[in-house]
Amino acid sequence: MPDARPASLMLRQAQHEDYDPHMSAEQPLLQVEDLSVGFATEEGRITVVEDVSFTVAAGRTVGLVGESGCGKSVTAMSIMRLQPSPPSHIDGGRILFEGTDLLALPESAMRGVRGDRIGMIFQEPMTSLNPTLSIGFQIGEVLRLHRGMTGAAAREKSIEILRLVGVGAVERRVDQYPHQLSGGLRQRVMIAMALVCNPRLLIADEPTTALDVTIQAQILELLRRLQRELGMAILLITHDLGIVAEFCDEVVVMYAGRVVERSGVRPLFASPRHPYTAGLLAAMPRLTKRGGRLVTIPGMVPPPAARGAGCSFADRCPRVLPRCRAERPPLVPHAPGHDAACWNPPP
Amino acid sequence: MNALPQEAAETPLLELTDVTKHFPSRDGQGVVHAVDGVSLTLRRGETLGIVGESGCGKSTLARVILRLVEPTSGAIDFEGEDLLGLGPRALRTRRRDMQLIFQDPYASLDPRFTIEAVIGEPLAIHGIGGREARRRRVADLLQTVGLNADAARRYPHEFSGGQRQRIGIARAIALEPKLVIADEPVSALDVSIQSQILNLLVDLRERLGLSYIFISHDLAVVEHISDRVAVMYLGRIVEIADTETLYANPSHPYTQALISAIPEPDPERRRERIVLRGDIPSPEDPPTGCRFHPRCPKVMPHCGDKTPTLRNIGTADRPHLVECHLY
Repeated sequence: MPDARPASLMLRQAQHEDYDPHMSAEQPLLQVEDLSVGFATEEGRITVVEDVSFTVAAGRTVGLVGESGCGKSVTAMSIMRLQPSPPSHIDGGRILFEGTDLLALPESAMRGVRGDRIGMIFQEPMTSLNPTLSIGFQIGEVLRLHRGMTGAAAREKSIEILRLVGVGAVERRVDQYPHQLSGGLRQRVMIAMALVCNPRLLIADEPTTALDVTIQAQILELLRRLQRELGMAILLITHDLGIVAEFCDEVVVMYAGRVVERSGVRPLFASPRHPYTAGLLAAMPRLTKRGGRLVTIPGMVPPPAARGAGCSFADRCPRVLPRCRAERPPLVPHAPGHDAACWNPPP
Repeated sequence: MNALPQEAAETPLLELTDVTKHFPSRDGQGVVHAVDGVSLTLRRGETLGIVGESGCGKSTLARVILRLVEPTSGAIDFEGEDLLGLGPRALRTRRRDMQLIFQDPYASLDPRFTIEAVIGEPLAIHGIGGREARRRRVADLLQTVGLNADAARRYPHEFSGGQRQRIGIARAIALEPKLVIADEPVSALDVSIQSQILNLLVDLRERLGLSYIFISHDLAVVEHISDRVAVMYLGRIVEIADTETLYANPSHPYTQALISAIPEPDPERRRERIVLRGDIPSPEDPPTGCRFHPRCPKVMPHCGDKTPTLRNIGTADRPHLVECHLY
C-alpha cells in the first residue's frame, strides 16, 4: 500500500483549520465537563456516569479505559449524542467540541457534526454497517449527507478513502456487501466511513476487541498512520491496558461511573496513583513475568444502585481507610498533570 | 512412545497421532480442513497451552479429543487406551476422566436449573451418591471454587461472569477428572476477574493433580499458565516447545509475529512490530505448501510448493518442534 496521502484530503484539512471561528490555541478540541448520565430502570433511576471530566487536545490520542460497566461506552455515546433516551438521560454537564456545547445543539445540527467533524468506529463493524447496501454506497451516503457529493464524484472519493485505509482490489471491493468481507476488512471499511469527511476527532470504541491479534496489529498500525497523515485527535475507548500503553498520549481511567485517575501515559504506567489502576496493572499476565500467582482485585464492581457516599472502590481496596467509606475522594492533582481520586494513593 | 503397559508412569495421559478432522463445507462442494494431522502428547500433571487465531482449529481439536466430534482419521490414546475404539458405554465411563470448561459462562449454564442441579448433574448422570451425598458434594465443590454454600439454591442469572465461570469449573471437577480442557476460559472476563480465575485454575491443578489443555488466543495468559505451548495455524501445529523456550526463542515466523503483535502494558517499551499482511485464509481452501506462506515475512520461493513437516530444532530431552522450511 503506497503511503502517498491524497492531495484532496490535505486540502480539506487545511480548510478545516481555517474555518473554525471558535478555536483558540489554548482551547482543547473536546472538553467533557462534569458529565452525568442516568438510566431509568424498573428499580428507579440509577446513575451510570457521574461527574466525568476530561479533555482531548487537537491531534492527541486519549485512552478512556475501564472494565465492563464502568461507563466508558456510555460516555463515548453521550459525546456523539447516540445514547438512547429514554431510558438514558443526561443529568448534567457540558460537552464542548471546538467551543460549542454539543448537548445544547438541536438534533439537526448534531447530525451535521456526526460523521463530519467527529467520526466514530465501533467494536463490531457488522452491526454498524447496513448488510443490504454495498460499501461504496454507504461511504457515498456520508459524502452526500455532509458534502452534497453524488454520482461519480462520490464514488471516486469512496475509492480514494478505501485505498487510504489499505483495502486491496478497491475497484472490486467498492461494490461488495459487508458479509463478503472479513472482520478486519469490515473494520477498515468502518474506518473509511468515519474518516471520509476528515474529522478533527475520531471516537474509537473498542475498535479491535473483536479481531484476532495479528489483525488487531494491522488496524492499530493503520490508525496510527492515518492520525499522523490527517492530524486528527483520537478518543480510544478500551479495556486493554496494553493497547493504551502502546497507542495513547494520555489516559483517563474510569471505575464504577467515575474518573478515578487521569494522567499522561508514562506516569500512569510508571507510578499509578489510584489503587484500582495499580491493581489492574498488577493483575495482567505479562510476557516478561512468568508463572506464580497473579495479583487479584478481590470482589467485583458494585452495581450502580449499591454505590454509596464514599469511594466505590473502597470494598476492594487494599489501602482503604475509614474515611474512604464515608467521604468520596475528589479528583485532584497528585503530581503535575497527574490527577487521582484517592484519599490514600500508592506512593 | 513405545511404553509397555506395565510402565504406567511412562505412559502419557493423552497422545494424539496424526489427528485430522474435515467438515463438509457449507455449500457441500468442498472440505473444511479444521484439524489436519495433529500429533501431540500430554504428560500427567502437565499444562499444555494451545494458541492460535480464528479458524486455526483449536476448538475443534478440543472437541475431537473428547470425541464430542469424531475425527476423520488419526489415533487418540488416553492413558494408553485407544479412545476411538471405545463403544458408547465405555466411552461414557471414560468421559468422567475428561471434562471441558467453556468460554462463555453465560451460554454454558442452563438458566432453568439451580446451581445445585447444574453442578450435581454430572454426579447424577454417572449415578454417584444419593441425593443427600450429592448435596454435600456440591457444597464442598462450591467452597473449593470460592463460592458461598448458599449459591446452591440460586439460578445462573443471579451471578456475574466470573462467578459463573467458577460454577462451570465446579461442574467440570465434580467427577474428579484427570484431564480438563479449558477452551478460552477467561476470554469473556475483565482483567481483575480473569486473574482470580487463573489463580483458581492453578490452585486446582495442584490440589487435585489435574492436567490441563488450555486453549486461548491470548499469548500472555497462555504463557502464564502453561508448561508447554503449541501454536496452531489453519489446522496444523506449526511450533511446539516448553513455554520458556517458545517465548524466548520463537522460531516459526507466525509465532514471531503473534508474540510481536501483543500490545504490552509498558509505554517505555514501544517497539517495532511485525505486522503481517492480509487476512487469515479460510480453512476451506488453505494455501498450498506451507499454509502460512502467503502472509509470511520470510517466505522463500519453494514455500508454496512443498509442505514442511515438524522438525526438532531443540534437543532430545528438550524438544522444540517447528514446521518451517527455514529449519
